[in-house]
Amino acid sequence: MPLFLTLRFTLLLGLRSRATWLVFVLGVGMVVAAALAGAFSARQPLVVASDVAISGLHFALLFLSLIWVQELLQKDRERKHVIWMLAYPLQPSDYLLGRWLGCALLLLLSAALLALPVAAIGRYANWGYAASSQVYFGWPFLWMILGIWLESLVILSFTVLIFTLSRTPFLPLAIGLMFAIAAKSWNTAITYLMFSNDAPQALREHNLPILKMLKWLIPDLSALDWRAAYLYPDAAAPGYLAGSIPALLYCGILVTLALVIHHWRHQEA
Amino acid sequence: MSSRLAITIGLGVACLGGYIAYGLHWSPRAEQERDEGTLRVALPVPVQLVMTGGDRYLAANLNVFRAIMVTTKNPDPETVAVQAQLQQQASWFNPAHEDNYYLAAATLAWQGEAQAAQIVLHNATGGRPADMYPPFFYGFNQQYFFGDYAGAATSIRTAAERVEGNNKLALQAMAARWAENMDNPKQALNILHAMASQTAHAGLRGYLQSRAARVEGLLALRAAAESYRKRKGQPIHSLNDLVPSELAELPADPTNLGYAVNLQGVPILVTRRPAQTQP
Repeated sequence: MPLFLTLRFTLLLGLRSRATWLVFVLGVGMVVAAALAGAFSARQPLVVASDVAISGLHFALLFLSLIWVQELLQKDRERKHVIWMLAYPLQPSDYLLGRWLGCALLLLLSAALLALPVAAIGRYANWGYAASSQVYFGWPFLWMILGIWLESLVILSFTVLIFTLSRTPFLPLAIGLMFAIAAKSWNTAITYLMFSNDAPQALREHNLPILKMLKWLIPDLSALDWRAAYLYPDAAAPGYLAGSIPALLYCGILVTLALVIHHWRHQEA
Repeated sequence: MSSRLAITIGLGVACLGGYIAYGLHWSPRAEQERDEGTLRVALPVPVQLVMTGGDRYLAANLNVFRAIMVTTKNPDPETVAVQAQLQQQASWFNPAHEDNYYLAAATLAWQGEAQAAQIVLHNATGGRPADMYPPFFYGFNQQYFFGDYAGAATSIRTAAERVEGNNKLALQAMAARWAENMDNPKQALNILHAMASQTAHAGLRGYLQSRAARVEGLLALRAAAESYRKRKGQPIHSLNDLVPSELAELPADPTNLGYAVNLQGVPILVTRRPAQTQP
């Protein structure tokens, strides 16, 4: 019951916060940028516009996950609301878990809302070129949106963990952003350094050992980017399970750590 | 948010926008780059990944946008080299990018970067398993720019497997023509026999068999020319030198294109019908 109450309050706070307006601003910006991007394409304006729109959706959910941790968790700490809330018969874990679940649901709602302009772009942004390659509406579209949401869930979980550890206001946001970029990049970077003939030898020698160590600490968020099946109907189906299971397990580890640290910090206090 | 803060932020954003617009459109360097369509910078792949927040599809799109924006009127060699690098990187990020392989086939190969075009087309062949154009362009470049008729025939057969109907037949016929032009007639003969046995279409099978018979005739002519050279100590000057000393009669070419002798005295296939003159 307390968990459900915290979840409900988080949803209401999130929907009323200024960050929610960001969802609509980002949606409009995304539509405009993606539609313009289609004009650069000679043969596939629909695919290019959709591709850029999907990239925009990734960025939108990334920034929303960071901003909602700031708005719904960090500000509670700054304004000492956490102390007031814990004066009630509410476990610290219920508070944190409720906030996390609420942010996760807000991200899911945002993904669903922003998926609408992505779908519209995939249908209409052909710039008058009737022979454009087509995207594939259907299950691949839904899987793609789910993958983007899962990616934002991992970033949210990591940022919440950093929130429980940090003592400065913007540290979770900064480290969460760096984590997101690293987690989305490392797999492509390792593949390039290991298998490309163009990779500079110095870069390979210096960075490959670091990246190989990094892969054990940071999940591969590029495995959750399932847009290929939507953009290129004849492409091989992405590994939905291979991408989502490690991501969900990693979320579980992060949230468990966050709950333990949060509980320990409030017991100390 | 107070009105003063809002005005301050608005002025700051306006200054930033003006600064960026000046850099993009009105600065002397921007004007030169826009007029001349030059490319000078191709960042390393890991740097591009970080700049796009780890989004390799966005990195591919940005590279292709830059390549497309280059003017087609006589780009300088440095621009072409950078364009080739950008497109190879885009192909690495997203091998299925259609604009990338199409642009590579249309521009890079003809501007002295045929090798880079082949890399992009090779990646697109794997990344787009149902698209016939990447292996088709790849095969065309192989025979046109590299003289690799055997490889070109193989690539065209790959393209043929991705289509049906008359397109499939046309591509298989093209592969057969290129196979017979390769400088190894025995290998060409094996390829043509294999293609004939693998097709269920009677018309195409007949066509391939006629091409195979043409190559068999060439093999017979070359064997006879070699025997003549060893016996006489000099090469033949025309095919008639082989009759009747080496061959009872010259082999007939089912395609009616015929055979000829090159300057080194080696029999070759005639590949074009003579132009018809006005009466």
